[in-house]
Amino acid sequence: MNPTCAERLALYDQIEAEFEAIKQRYRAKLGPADVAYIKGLRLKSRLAELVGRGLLWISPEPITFSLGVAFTLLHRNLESIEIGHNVLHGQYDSFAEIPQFHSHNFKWKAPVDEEGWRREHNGLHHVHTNVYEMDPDLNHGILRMNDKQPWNSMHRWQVPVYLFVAYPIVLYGFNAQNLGFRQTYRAENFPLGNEGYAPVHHPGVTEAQLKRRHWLSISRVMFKEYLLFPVLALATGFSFWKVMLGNMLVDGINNYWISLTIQATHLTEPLQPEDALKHKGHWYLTQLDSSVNFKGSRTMSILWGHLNYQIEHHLFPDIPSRHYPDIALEVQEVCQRHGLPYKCNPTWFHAIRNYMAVMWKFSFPPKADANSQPTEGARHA
Amino acid sequence: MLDRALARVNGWALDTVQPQWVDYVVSNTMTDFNRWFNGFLWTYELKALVEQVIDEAPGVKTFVLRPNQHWRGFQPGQHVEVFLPIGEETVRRYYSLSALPKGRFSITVKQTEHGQASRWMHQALRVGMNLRIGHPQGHFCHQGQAKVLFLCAGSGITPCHSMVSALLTQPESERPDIQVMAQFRQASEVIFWETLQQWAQDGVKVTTALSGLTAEQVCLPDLAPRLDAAQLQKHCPDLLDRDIYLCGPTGFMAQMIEHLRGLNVDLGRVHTERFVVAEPPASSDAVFETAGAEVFFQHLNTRITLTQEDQGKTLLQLGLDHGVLLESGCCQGMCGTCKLTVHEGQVSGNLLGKAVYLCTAYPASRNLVLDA
Repeated sequence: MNPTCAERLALYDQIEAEFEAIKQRYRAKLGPADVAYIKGLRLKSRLAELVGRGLLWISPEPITFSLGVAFTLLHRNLESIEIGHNVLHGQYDSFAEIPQFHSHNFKWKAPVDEEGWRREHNGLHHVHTNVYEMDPDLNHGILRMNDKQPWNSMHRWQVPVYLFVAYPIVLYGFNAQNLGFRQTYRAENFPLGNEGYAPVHHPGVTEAQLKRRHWLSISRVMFKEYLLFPVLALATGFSFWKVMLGNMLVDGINNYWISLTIQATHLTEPLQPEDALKHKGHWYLTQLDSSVNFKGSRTMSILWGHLNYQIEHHLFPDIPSRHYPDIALEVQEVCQRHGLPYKCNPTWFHAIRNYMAVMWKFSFPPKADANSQPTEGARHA
Repeated sequence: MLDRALARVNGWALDTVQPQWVDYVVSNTMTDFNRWFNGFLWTYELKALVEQVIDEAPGVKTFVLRPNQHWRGFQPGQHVEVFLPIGEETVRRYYSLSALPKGRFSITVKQTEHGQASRWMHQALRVGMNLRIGHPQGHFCHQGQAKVLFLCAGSGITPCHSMVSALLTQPESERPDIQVMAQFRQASEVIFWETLQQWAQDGVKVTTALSGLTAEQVCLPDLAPRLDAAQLQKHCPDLLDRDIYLCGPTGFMAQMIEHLRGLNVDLGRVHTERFVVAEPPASSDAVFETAGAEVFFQHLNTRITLTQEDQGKTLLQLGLDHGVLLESGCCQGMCGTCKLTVHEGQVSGNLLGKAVYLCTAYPASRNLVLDA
């Protein structure tokens, strides 16, 4: 065993011990405050919904209409990320008194099949983060985000396709991916099929069952947003189309917001080795390396679902998100001590700009003369 | 008043709409208000509505129950745990299930002198009330043998009743050769009297034994005095050809086993049922023997029985090895994908409150119920 290898292993052991210690400390802290937090969020979300939908319903002019959109958006935003995403990670599973916030009971107010999400997002993306052909979120849909992946002519259009088509409906897209429909599309339409992409499998589940779940998860949102509330408005003498338009705007903006939050915190980061799971310490390092945070206040962090603390979220995905800002200080301290880079963009804007640049770069075929070095391998090594 | 109306609406909804659709609507509209207003449907728990109370015999009542959308059916012969809200505490009891049409089932309860639960059920449990129940359990089910004898006493007749009723719905050519011997103390205590008559008409050989009778007092050919080896042989000459399903009070079962042993019956063909009482938790320092232990994945309605080979495996590995379609991720306790909740029983290893990380936890009790 050469010295560098021994040093590496020592680092892994050290990192594992330190991050596990942080995790245990925060697990021990879980208690009534977390229950109160998630219940409080639900209450706020409900109030925002009441105000927002009420305004959309009766608004006679653009100002009240815009306020209606804003409040409904707040409701949809809280429900989809700070509540929904975190609850589906099982962050509140250990509290018996709130079964409605247990990951297997929870129903998302989003067009996403929960089991499909848990299997793809929790079980694949969070385990094999940024691993080539193993992380389905690394290049979902038709996206190409690294040199390793074969280029085809469709990638030339990825920037406009994603900015104008995919992002306003990103959750619908994730749903299709989680249930395995995106890989079918690529298999049929890409010259090299799914090479470079990570398919999602559902053993023991038939195609018909998946299609049914897909339909059910979408139609509940469609029914509520685009049928129930517009018809209620119509039945009480208000405008069907105005409510419909308001809800469409909310859906679109909410999806866009989510896209820009999550895409800009992973996809700019390097590919990771696939065998990292063999050592917990190595795995922690790949999680550290495959994510990048961006700065924001604690209040704004709630609206980003605390995904601006992507590093902490990936290190400890089932610790309730309200602890991430505190955990971040401890993680930074560990990184500093070991000389590990702790990546953080100064603002959301910087994160988005970096992301756009990368998306643009990989929409073109690799240059023939360039030494296309795979970006694999942790940067710290 | 409101309760009655709600019970009626709930019953109607469950009768008209498929359970999966009820579940789809209910789970997607699970607000605090709905849970408070109509806790029978808007709940994460399996509950049953009392639809009818029937007097079977003095001190014996049958309760017809309508489970909510979380019910996934049962095998005739299985039993169910019922949670009774008696005063401040919740008392748990097990009862055999009898299938009824349209998704209902019934439990038959005999009032015992000091039985807190049976007394409460006889006096306080009324039509329109909701009870929390468990998922059906037990292996006391007909296993396809061609010749069977159901040997039961007292309220032990209920699982047999359930199995025989189910078997009688099969066409005569496919039905096994069924014989029933049921013992009661006296004629007035016979449970399912009319059903027993009906079975006799349907071609089942039914013998009703009354332990209070002497051999001289017996006046009908299908009536017997207290069952013993001689009576068993007299009423069931082909005893050795039959698989025997035995259920009743502990004393009765012990006696019957002795008699059957005396008659050279292969005890491997005697299937018994005891209503299980919650066992004490396994001590943590002893090595837990997995062979024979059961794990029930309630959310998937899948039960697995562990073998010697499962010794030392994690709960996740056990599940996957037995073909359970569990969600899983890193297998190291970091991503939390495999987490489930311990509903009953004990586990060791990675546990947070009642949330258990299957990939890094192990079974630690004979009976373990995990739920989503």
